[in-house]
Amino acid sequence: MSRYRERSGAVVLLILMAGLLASCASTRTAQDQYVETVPLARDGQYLEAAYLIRDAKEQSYKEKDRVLYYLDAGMLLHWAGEYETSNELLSKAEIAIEELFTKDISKAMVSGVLNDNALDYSGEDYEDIYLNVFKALNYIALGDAESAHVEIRRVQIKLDLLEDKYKELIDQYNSSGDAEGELVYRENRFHNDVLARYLSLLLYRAEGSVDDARIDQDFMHEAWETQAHLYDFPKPELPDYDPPDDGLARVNVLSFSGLSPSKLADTFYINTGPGMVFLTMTNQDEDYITQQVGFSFLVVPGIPAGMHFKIQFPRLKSRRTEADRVVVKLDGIEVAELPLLEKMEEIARETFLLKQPLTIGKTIIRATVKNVAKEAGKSAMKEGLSDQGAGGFFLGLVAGVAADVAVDATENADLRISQFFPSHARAAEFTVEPGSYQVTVEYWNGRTLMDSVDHGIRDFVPGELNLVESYMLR
Amino acid sequence: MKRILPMFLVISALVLASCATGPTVTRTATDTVTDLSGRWNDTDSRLTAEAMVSSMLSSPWLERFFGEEGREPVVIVGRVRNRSSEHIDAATFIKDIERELVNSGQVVFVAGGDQRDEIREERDDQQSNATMATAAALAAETGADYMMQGVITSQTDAIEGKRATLYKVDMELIDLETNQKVWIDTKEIKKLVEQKKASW
Repeated sequence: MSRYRERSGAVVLLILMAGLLASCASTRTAQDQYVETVPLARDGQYLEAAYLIRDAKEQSYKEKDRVLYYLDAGMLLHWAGEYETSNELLSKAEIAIEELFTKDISKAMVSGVLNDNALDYSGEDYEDIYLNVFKALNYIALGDAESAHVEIRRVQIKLDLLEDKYKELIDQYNSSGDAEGELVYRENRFHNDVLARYLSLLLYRAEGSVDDARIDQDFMHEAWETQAHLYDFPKPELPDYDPPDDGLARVNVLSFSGLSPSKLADTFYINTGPGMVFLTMTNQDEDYITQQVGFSFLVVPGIPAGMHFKIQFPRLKSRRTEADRVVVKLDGIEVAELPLLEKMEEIARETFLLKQPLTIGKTIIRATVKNVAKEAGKSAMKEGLSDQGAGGFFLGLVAGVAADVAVDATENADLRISQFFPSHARAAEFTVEPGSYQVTVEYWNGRTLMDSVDHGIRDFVPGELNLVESYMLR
Repeated sequence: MKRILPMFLVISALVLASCATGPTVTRTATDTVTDLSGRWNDTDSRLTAEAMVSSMLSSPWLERFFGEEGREPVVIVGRVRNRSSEHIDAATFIKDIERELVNSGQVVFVAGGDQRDEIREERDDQQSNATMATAAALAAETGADYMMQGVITSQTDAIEGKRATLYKVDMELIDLETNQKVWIDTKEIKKLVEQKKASW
């Protein structure tokens, strides 16, 4: 009887473990904070969304998620026009990302037992790159062109680093004793960012560094030739690096629309019945609701019943812009239509794919090890309880379910990604007589005017940087 | 049970492991060399300023000026531009240089930039609000003989977890009357930062 009690205790512990893991924030990505804030940001209520993110700091962001919090809050505050605070937060994100590139061994072990959610979020590469672009825009808005240029220079350094960042990690894995098969390195195909070069050209031109501005323009032209997979749309007319002294003011309008991709979970379940294998696939929709998308079964004679495997991968889901035409009006008169400059979501995808072999490889190995160990444990427990009659059978069944729940609870994809970067950038340059103008930027979807953003009265001065940043995150 | 209990404890410990700890603060001498991140820091600013001042004071322009004018040259600091990839507070660096030069007693410094604007504003204000006897006189500023200008640049090269940054500080002293550059020097600081890679 005491043996029976002992085994019952083991089952209770298993159930407790399952409950603990299922409720633990270390094992899954918090997404609740976005349900309300993303629609608010899309509606242009940036400050309100920023307040909600701040209020959710304790509940939805743990210390390991600090990069995510800094990025989310930093970007919302940029859109809200709170440039100094935005810079503080984006700087914190940048420093943390740099520090977290060195991950500590004990945390890596936690990830091995649980999943990547247990690790510090060190940011996606495109986030690390674009945060400098938005810091530069913050500095431009604050009238500090020199600091803006510092940020733009950092973009190129990061692009250089990206060149072999994952190659080395994959080489390291392939040559390690833990390697289970060979991971294939995906070559980096993003070396030159047009958006950063565009800002760099404007900054150099404004300070009179014609040669530097020309080099930036050359690099922009080159992007359409060497990175056609990212710049697969007509090249817009690029700003003149050495405009004539014609007494006119050159105005640059930079517009952002849409939201950067989100990460959603694709889950695969394998269950076995007597001689049968059942395959179930679920995925998350954009509202983070999980739905079943596939079911199949195989007849596999001899396979024992009661086995259960779960494996989950992150999928990048585009949240592309609805705006297909963006128009600038000065004093109510249309002066320019903004052509596409950069599909930022494509760059997000490109850099995400660089890391994907590591993510998938690590997930498969971890899930396999955990599930195999769990199935072995379940078998051992069933055997141990087989001499306890109906009670033992029932306990074995409960223990098996508890073990499945516990392991399932730890097998969650790391879905952390910042939510408030834009998906598309458009830009145009035009000349006007010096003076003050009422600036309006209209966002159109077909024949429907989605939004008309009023940028107030702006002074345009010859020889100076006359940059208007406009945005509408739908 | 004997197997399950330790497993339960280990997993629970891992799950609950991420506890934050408070910061540890240690006071240290201000001239201690601290290289935490590999970025430009106070030590770089101080060492570069010292080297620049030493070079400037041992250069022939100073002796020549003494010989010709019979007084210390008056210098104003112009802009030190930051064209590096880091936010470097040029004001700290300029102050380091000013302090070293003023303390050497061989050069007279006059205020420039925002500092000068503030002083002029105060002097203007005194004309209306201070007594005639105590108000600072207008048009009595000491004109500078030379202007010091500079630029800080950096080049970063990175491969396989190692990052090498070369900081280059170029300073020039320009004769305000003739535009002649009487002194130019460059100081370089190279830093190699090795980052550990993430463990598999």
